[in-house]
Amino acid sequence: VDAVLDNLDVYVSGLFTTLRLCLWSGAIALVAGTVMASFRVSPVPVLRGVGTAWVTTLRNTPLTVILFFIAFGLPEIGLRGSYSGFAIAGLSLYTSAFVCEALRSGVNAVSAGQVEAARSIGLTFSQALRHVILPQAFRSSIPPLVSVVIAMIKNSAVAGFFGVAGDLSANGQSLTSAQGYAALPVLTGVVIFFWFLTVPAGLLLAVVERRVAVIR
Amino acid sequence: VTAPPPGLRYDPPGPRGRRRVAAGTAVAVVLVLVVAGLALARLARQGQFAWSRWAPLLDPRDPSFRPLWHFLIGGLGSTLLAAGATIACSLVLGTLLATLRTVSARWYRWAVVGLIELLRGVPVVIAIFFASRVLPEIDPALDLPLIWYVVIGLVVYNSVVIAEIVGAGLAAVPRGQAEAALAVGLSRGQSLRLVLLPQAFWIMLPALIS
Repeated sequence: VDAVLDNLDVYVSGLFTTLRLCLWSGAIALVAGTVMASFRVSPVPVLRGVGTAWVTTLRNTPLTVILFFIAFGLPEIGLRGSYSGFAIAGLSLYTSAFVCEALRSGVNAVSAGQVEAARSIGLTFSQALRHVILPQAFRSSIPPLVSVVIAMIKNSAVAGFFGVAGDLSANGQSLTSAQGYAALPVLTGVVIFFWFLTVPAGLLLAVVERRVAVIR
Repeated sequence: VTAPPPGLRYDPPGPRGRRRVAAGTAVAVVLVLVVAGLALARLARQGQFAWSRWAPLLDPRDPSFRPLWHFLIGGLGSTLLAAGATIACSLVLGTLLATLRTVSARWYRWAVVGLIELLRGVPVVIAIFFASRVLPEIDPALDLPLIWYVVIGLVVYNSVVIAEIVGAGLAAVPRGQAEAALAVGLSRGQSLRLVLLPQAFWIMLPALIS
């Protein structure tokens, strides 16, 4: 236990690094996922193809392999950046595919009458999407979206093993390997700090699910 | 409410719309080709496409060809082994957890639920790292081949995920089934095993596969 208490500052800074990583990746993934979801339901066949290819490729590639390609492939073609930048890019690419699928299921849950009503008052497809379909789709896909975000927080642990300095998993690794603390307390500490991020998200999910269930 | 067929969300584009789509597509294709060409040119300048780099993967006469493919196929085998062991163990454990959750008395149900919720919040990498570091520390006899740490970490995580899925499946079986099973004189365990779980697995098959 002393190993955790002595290094509390290491854990807290790790928590904030992980949080920063997740906020950036989450924001980018939400935007990219929304764009891809609207591509996937759009009237333009090429855009639908792009959306489908995006989701199929990213969802079927292990996150580790995506991070590998970005962290060690991009520098080969001369794109250099920090490892946390690479980690954010990899995480948000990977997560955007899941965001897209969650949103698309939400879009399909919007009842046909809503879409027909939007069309019959003369809205174009993009207007209908922006003012009618997506707002309702977002609401009904909040539960799956929160699950996607929780999964992303946990996936961010992989980034620590890809040279991102100072996130929770990297700090745990360095405390056990380099500084020789016993593994059990140190890693239990890492797990508990991850719970600080995931458990509130889970509770939020429970609240939201109850709300949405009432609305329907 | 069924999902509207995609055609309901828009009219098929008319002649002008089709022209716009065609023009936009052409521009986008040209843009993508230019970007891809630039990236490929850059890779080529750095010699990334030199045959000597790809020969170990593609040329059977290359001295590295055999060891490389041996290595890759060995990796595929290990992945299949780890996946198979994980699937088997976590299906059993997950089903056990799910049934524990439904049949447990109130006073310890919170313990089962708490365990599921907490384990669900552990990143898989950390679970694997945990297993590989902590188990040998506890007892040198647990100094297993590395692949078993992978299996242990994955089982810990996936069994709670499967417990959630099976739990949702059990909840989705109509109530009448459980009542009918009890009414014909099956015990609770028998009704779970013979009536509820088979139906729950069937309902949850898509989620289990994904």
